[in-house]
Amino acid sequence: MIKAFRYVSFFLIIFIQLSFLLAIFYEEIDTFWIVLFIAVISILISIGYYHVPRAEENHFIEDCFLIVFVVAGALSTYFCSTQLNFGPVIAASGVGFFASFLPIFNRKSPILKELPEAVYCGAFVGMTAPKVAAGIPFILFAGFLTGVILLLSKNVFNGFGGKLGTIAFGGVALTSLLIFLIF
Amino acid sequence: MYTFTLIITGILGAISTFYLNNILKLGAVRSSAGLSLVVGLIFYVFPNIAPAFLAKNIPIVFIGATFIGMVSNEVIAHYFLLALAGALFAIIYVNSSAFFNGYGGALGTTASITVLVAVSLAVVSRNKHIEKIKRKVRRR
Repeated sequence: MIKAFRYVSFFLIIFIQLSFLLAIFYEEIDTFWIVLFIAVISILISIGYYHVPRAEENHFIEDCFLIVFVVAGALSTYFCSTQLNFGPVIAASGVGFFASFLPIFNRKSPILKELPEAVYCGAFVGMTAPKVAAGIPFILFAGFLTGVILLLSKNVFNGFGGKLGTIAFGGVALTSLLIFLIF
Repeated sequence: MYTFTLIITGILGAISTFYLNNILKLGAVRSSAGLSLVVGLIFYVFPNIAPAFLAKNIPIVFIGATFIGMVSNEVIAHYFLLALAGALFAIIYVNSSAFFNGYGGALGTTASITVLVAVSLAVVSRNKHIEKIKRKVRRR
């Protein structure tokens, strides 16, 4: 079961990255150099996928609390960014910086140890611009979806820069797609 | 000139975060968030220290590049590859799709793409055929 989740999350992350590149490709299809640049990058990242580190951790149900932290990070960042007008960069980094000190309260706690990553992942969801996020319910749902993807992808792309952001992008893009399809 | 400044920002963001994360062992989240908070606050308090385009985009490119620096030194251990990833990040950011503009996590996705490129370049450069070419060039 854990193996199946690992495969699903691995291919989901690949799908998110390729969709992102494809969007640039379609918009700049008339510019030869950019198309060539995207093609070379796509080939290189395909090689990179074979060398992605994998971990074998069997904790799963125990980690469901991660979803709550992701949602909390998303809501607090969105609030600081849009309501307090700090902008997405200060809001996300402020929330992430604050969260990084929380494990100090109990260094032995496995829950607190995983908290900064989950909150920072949620903070990326909260960076969504108000023109994309249709209010707090959008951020709540996108945060929940991101938390689920984070949980599924616990054993892939570990120690990889940009993993948390890719997961957050997946959650936000999936929420936008669902809203587009339903409404 | 603006693109060049953003490229330098990308390189600095990636390398400084990597240094705090892997050498000073501050942890990935604190290194990335701490540095981004400092840069974000500088441009928030002093918005006129750079032209409007740069004042708006430098903090965004910087926080995106710090995601590259969150990489473990077991995945990328070479500063040149990090600098390359940081520069590549800025180039993709400048040309990024308007379709995904304003989506949370877009910076992280760009960062992960550039990290994958850096990893594959490290793998390709270790390839025996490439090594042969490198040796030939050195002999000349």
